[in-house]
Amino acid sequence: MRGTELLEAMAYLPPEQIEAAERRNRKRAPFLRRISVAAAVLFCLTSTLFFSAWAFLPALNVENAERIVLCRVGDRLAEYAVTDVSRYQDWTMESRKGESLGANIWRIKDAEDLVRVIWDDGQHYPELLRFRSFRAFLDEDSPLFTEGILTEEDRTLLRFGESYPFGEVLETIYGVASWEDIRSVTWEKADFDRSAAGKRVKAETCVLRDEESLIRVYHILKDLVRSSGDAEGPRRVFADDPAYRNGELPLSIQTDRRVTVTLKSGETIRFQYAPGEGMLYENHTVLYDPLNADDNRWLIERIGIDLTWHDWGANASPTGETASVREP
Amino acid sequence: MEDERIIGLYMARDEEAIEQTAVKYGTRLLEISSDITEDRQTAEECENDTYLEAWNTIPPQNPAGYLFAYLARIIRHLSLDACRYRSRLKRSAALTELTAELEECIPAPDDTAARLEYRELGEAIGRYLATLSEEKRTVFIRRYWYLDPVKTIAAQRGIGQSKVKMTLLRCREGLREYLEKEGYEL
Repeated sequence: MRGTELLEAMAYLPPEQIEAAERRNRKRAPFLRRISVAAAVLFCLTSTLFFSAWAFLPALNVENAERIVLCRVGDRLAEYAVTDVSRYQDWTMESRKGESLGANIWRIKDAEDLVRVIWDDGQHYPELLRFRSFRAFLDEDSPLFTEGILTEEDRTLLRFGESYPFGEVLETIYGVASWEDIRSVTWEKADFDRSAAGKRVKAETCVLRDEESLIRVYHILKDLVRSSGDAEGPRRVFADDPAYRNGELPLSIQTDRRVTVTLKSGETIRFQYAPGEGMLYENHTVLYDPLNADDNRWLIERIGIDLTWHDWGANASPTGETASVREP
Repeated sequence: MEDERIIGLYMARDEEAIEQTAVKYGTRLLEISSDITEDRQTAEECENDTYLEAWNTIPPQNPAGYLFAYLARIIRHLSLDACRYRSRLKRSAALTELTAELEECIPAPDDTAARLEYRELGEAIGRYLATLSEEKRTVFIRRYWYLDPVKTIAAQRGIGQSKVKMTLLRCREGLREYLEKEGYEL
């Protein structure tokens, strides 16, 4: 037999061996090249990730943090806060300016709501502002008047010294005209108590999406009325509170909830809910009058809030850090 | 398209079968033939002849589960024939080299009267290859079935040419011993 005949005989190898040799015939680059390619891919991924974070994550605007800008929306004085923007937003801010809303304030182009507006005085970099609340209580001797920031015309046009329904904010600022503009409402454990007992508390998250619940919540929100200037926020009961230690009141972190209303426009509105007082409030400076008893009871049942006293470490001294409540 | 459906088209004598075969395996078949013949035009002729051969043999053949191997065997055979009969000088040299390597596996001189059926011998080689590691088996088959040059195998496997040559040498020695043990008196 000659080699050629053996070569012919090779044709009769089992098909699965032929297929396997074909499948395994993947070109494998030399070790160094593979390492180089892996390093290059890793570098590209890391660079992309870093650049994305650098360009698209909101950067902290330390210089202007908490700076408040007041502007007129209809016959109301609206309070806007400077918000963090990403570098990408910063670069494109000028092109996002839409209709002028008055001195130095611009609506975002194509936006139907007024949750965010652009402030640009032509001398500094434009800034993105986010709505906080209507300024309902303004003294006549406020520097806004005395220093001439608000004109005489403003004084006659603006409504001060009166509370306002949150429905006005919903419609004017958030563009919410009916319950159908709400996507969902989430009720979850609040985050104001980081003590050891507070951390032990379990609170189920509840997301309302059904029509009946959204209609009810929409009407509750719409009927909220901003409390008068001297109203106080709900009482917060922590683990070192005698009322809790004596078994009289449950921990606030057990009963209270953080509320996030997600709109179909993508915007969110945040509240705190204290079922004990039946109060929905944004923070301790923006409070709303208590809900009526029916609505409060419905919410407690629908969300499944447990108002009974539980021992989460009542007799132990709190060892963790307790978040301070923002003062008005 | 799945192999089963392509074979179904052959069975139904639907000419779509050839088109689908070309779409699915055309490139790989052309590559095998090009490696053997080292001539694009000849390889294309072999590819077309392969489809014709498949058309003529399916049915009665039914290569369900190994359609590619079936087609690859046909094109390999056709490509080797093309090399032999069309007197491609360059490729003839390569074939001579290959057959010389394989002659090392033959236990007896080639003047033996007995001649084995190719199929029987091929099956015996297959049994031997099944005892090897997957890596060695692949190197062996790439060299003596697909007729890839040592340099190509080394590049594809990411190993040195000397390692490929050493692997092939040991496989050939092993095959020779195996055939002797199996009682092949060649």
